Amino acid sequence: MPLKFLSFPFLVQENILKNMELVEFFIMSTCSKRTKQSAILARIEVPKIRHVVKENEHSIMIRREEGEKFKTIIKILEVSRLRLSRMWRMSIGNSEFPTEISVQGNSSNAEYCLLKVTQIDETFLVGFSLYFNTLFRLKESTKLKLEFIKSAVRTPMFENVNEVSLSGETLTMDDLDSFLTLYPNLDVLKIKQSIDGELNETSRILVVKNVCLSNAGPFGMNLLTKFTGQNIYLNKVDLVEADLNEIIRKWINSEGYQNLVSVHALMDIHSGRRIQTDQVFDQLPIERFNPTERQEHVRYTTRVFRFTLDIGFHGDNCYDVIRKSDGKKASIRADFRFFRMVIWN
Amino acid sequence: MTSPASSSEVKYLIESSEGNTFDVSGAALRQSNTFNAMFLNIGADGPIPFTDYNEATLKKVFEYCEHSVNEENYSGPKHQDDLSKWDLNFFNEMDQKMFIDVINASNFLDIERLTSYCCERIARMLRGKNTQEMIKVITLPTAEELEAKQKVEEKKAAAAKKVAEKAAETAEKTETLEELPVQQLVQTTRNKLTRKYLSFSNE
Repeated sequence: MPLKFLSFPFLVQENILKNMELVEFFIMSTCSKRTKQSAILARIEVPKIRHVVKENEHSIMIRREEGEKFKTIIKILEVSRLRLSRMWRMSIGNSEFPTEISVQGNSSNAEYCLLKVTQIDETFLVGFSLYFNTLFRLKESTKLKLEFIKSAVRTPMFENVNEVSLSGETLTMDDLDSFLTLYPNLDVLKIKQSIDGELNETSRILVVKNVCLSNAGPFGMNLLTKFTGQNIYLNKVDLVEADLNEIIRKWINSEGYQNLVSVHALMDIHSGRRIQTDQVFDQLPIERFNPTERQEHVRYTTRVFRFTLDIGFHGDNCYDVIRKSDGKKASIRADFRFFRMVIWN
Repeated sequence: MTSPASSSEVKYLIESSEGNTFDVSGAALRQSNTFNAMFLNIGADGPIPFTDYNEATLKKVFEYCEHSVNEENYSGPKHQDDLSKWDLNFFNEMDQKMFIDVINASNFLDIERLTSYCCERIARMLRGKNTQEMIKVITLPTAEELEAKQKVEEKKAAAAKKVAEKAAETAEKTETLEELPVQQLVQTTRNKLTRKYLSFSNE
């Protein structure tokens, strides 16, 4: 006797759907309009998700219950052609997309759903994102890892995004601003490529709380002088001693950087330049490190940027400064090719 | 036979779709939230009619309830891997038809534990399947079947509409007649008869 899923009362359908793995639950929704409707009504919740968008690939990952690690549940792959025998017309929004859907892994452990399509373009990504958000109830904000594509500037493809990682071709300041307008509530922004263009007072990047630039260059130093967020990590940045001195002075006098928690800036090893430490601390009310007053090491920005650096704040070029308004202490170390500053809680 | 007692010794009579009756212990029956809501407090005078389900299905469902009387309170779904040997035998000895009937009966009787195990079993059947394979398992209607079904439904709706319209028309006529005063009715009938007589005499 056939097992007619749709003939079951809705409560039974819902119970079956809730007993499914997310991968199968998603595939079930692709079977027909009515199974999709049942799936939507089952109101399945998912923890934090991460979209990883590359030029020919899009993965959707969910955070595992036990920690910060993510697991792929759907991988969309652009292929030149689909096998006719396996082709399935999937309804996304008002359009039908030819797809090939399969499960990777074995029957006892379905790893992820592989969805092959002939084109991953803007329309598809927007439609699919909407499909996913209708199907699942997201408990937390979304993390987005994007290989930068021009279309990403035009269309808001994902909702409720609070973390973004960008990579790919060099970014222009205009593109970055357009992109950040689409995702206004970012807590964390990581950019791997270099950024071309002038930073001005209205640039959207200044609203982001935590910024990590892997290829900061002169833009990085410019950003650091205007930074209003909490944590900033700059790699391959062109540091300017006078500007660093000004940043410390402003912090001491409460003229800026009120939210600052940490700065970690590294110059390009190949640049051949070294930081002139005396210029950084020139005419500032600095104190030498006193081990009886504070710890030597600080575990740097583990939670925000998802990596750990155990940094020592001691030695010859390490000083403490005190903020005049509230007596808060900050430690600064400027040595060879790096500048680090941490504000103690 | 039945009384709203809480003792597990009390037996209740259940009536199936065939009209047959059989005994079920109060303790087993209390696993059904439907029963608890309907009969536990008010009692049942005579056999309890669960006449949407046949005897074999109901017996199977209550066999499960009798067995799990002494198990600890249900606390959410348990994985099939954690099921006891008895549970596994219980499920394995059912054919597909009986399995579906048991799910439906269990859902109606609102026996959480049994419904949940059955549903997890179905979810397992779908594990690792792609769209086409899944459609085969859950036997979704094809586009042609859906179209045919829609046509039948449209025909039914049209027929029902016609009947409703006719009924409304008749009701309207009756209403009009009822509303006319007797004198007016007599006059109308007289006029009609006169017209008929005149046309007859003209011929």
